Amino acid sequence: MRNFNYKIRKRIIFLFYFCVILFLLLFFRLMEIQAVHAYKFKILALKQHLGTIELPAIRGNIFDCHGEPLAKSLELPSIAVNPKEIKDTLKAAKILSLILSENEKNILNKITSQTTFVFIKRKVDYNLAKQIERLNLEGVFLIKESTGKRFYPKGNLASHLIGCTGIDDQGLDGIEGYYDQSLRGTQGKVETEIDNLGIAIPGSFLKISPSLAGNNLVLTIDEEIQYLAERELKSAISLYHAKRGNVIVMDINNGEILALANYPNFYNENYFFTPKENLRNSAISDAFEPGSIFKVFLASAALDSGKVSLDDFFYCGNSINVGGWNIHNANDGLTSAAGKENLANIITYSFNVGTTSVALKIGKETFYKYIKAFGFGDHTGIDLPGETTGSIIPLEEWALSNLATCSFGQGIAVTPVQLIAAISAIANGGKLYRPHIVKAIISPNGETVKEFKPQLIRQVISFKTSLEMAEILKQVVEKGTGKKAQIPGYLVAGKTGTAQKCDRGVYVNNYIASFLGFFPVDEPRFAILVKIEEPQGIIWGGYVAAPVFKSIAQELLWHYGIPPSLPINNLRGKS
Amino acid sequence: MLTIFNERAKKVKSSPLKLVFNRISLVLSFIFSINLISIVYLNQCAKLVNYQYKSCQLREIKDTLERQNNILQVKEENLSNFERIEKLAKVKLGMVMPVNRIVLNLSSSVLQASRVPYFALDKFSKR
Repeated sequence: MRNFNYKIRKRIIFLFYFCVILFLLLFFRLMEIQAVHAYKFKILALKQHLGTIELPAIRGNIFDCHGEPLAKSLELPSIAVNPKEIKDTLKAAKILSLILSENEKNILNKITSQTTFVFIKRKVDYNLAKQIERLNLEGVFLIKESTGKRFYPKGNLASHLIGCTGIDDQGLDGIEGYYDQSLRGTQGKVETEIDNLGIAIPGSFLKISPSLAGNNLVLTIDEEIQYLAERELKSAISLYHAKRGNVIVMDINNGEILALANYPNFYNENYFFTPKENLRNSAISDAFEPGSIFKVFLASAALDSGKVSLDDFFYCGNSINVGGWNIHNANDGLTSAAGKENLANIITYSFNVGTTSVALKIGKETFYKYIKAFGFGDHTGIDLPGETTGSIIPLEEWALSNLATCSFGQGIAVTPVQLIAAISAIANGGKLYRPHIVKAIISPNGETVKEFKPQLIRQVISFKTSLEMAEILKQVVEKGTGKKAQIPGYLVAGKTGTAQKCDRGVYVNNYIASFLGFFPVDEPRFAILVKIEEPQGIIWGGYVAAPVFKSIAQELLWHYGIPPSLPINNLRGKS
Repeated sequence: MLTIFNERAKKVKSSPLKLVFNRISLVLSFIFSINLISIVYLNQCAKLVNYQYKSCQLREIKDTLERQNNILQVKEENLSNFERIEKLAKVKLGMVMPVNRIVLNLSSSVLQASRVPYFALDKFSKR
């Protein structure tokens, strides 16, 4: 009996110690997990339910000078699928193609691809996305994009100026491309604990890196003037069956571009489907031989250099031989009865022979110096991509014939923006300003980040020369080739141009009709260039381009409330 | 004396039971109150999380409404573009461009003497 009790006791003690050892093992293991490796497991646990939610960075908006929006970004979701989760691919493809108005075959190809993620359509209309979400299709889900989709509320207004963006809201052309860094926002993120549906758990760990929306741009462009310029240009091109054209309106006292119209233009949303030749901003990137409008700069050079005065007379016959080349007047019926004219009449009636005589008097060095001083052959510095400098033969290669032809704007290639900047210098007392499109960069909360003040490049001609030139160009409109630019009650100055086009070094039977002018002459405020390429039938600048100048100038005067400076015969002034 | 001692002895004999009973009831009530506080606290936490979830939902609704507002704004701006307005004015309303414009050059003394049509002043207001 005693033995039996002893054995049982021994077993109990053995069991007891066994349990103690087991307990100790468990205890040490617990200590290892909870204490020694605590940090490691904590991180693992956090990783499992810590999620990152990206905060979208919306691109800045673009406004005109009155705050009208020209470009805006909206947050839109994208539709994506996990092809491996879709059971009925045909049904899914049919439904998606119906809702998204996409090709069913294309969608089916994406749904049946060997991948776990594919976009069906990016940045779709919000209502369509909600429709798809409500259907709760297996394997189909909405993705919140980190960038918005660009919209252009004003249609194709100022399309070349504004440019376009890519699918990821990155600027590709125009102002969108040039100021991409300013317009682009900075993405943010929220690190927080999420549940199994990916929804943030309120009140849990939260780390926010806020997103910053892009800055907004305020342009110098006036929406109304821009629309007006585009409408009048399109009307003239349609009337004369022309190939293309440009209109630029500039404030002469500060270099602000109020309107820059090119035709043909395009819809910014259809940028990638537009023919490449229509995408080019020809106002800054296409150089052309300006023809007679360039005589303005010859006359300015002649007067400002002091080598020519208003009382000097120059040979103005039907032709003149220069360096073996015969120079003729234009075949427009205007001839000099006396065979000699002063500078004012040479410009008023646009005598090529007369300008050749003037050029020969001032010499190639002086003329070349003023051509460069007016900014020709250099970038104007306008804040748009793709600007070209034009083409001027180097001075050391100038023959007498080059001097003669350059005097009436042939043998030299300039861009429309160079011309408008140069005529503004003549109108405002001789100051050449840098043309610019953007007035200010504004932060999302309305603070001015940067303001673009007028940038004076140089004093080109004296104030006295500027006044003399204004008088001469006023005569062009009053009694010369620019009569169709007259505006009742206002003094207008300008010059017509009809330049023969040069195609691969050969002059062809196509012309560029142009008018370059400013107004009101007594207190100049605006300059306008109108350029119509290859008008059919009537080719003269005074007939094709001058009326467009007049239409735009009249509206501009009305728009800015500039009263007439001349008495009008009756109170009902005619448009 | 003995009676008192016997009574005291009786009391001593009965007090351990009462003591144990008191101690047990104290422990039980302590446990009960802890439980009650825990239940109330957890209930409040649950309510708080519920409200936070609701606040998240409301924020989502607010974001959705803001998004819809932005979309409507863009639509409104699109509808007010000049090309569309001119087309509507010409085609649907039969309007034409004005041929004549009235130019009134008024000095300030004339303004005081007579009523001036608002449109004339509007045309000369500088932007």
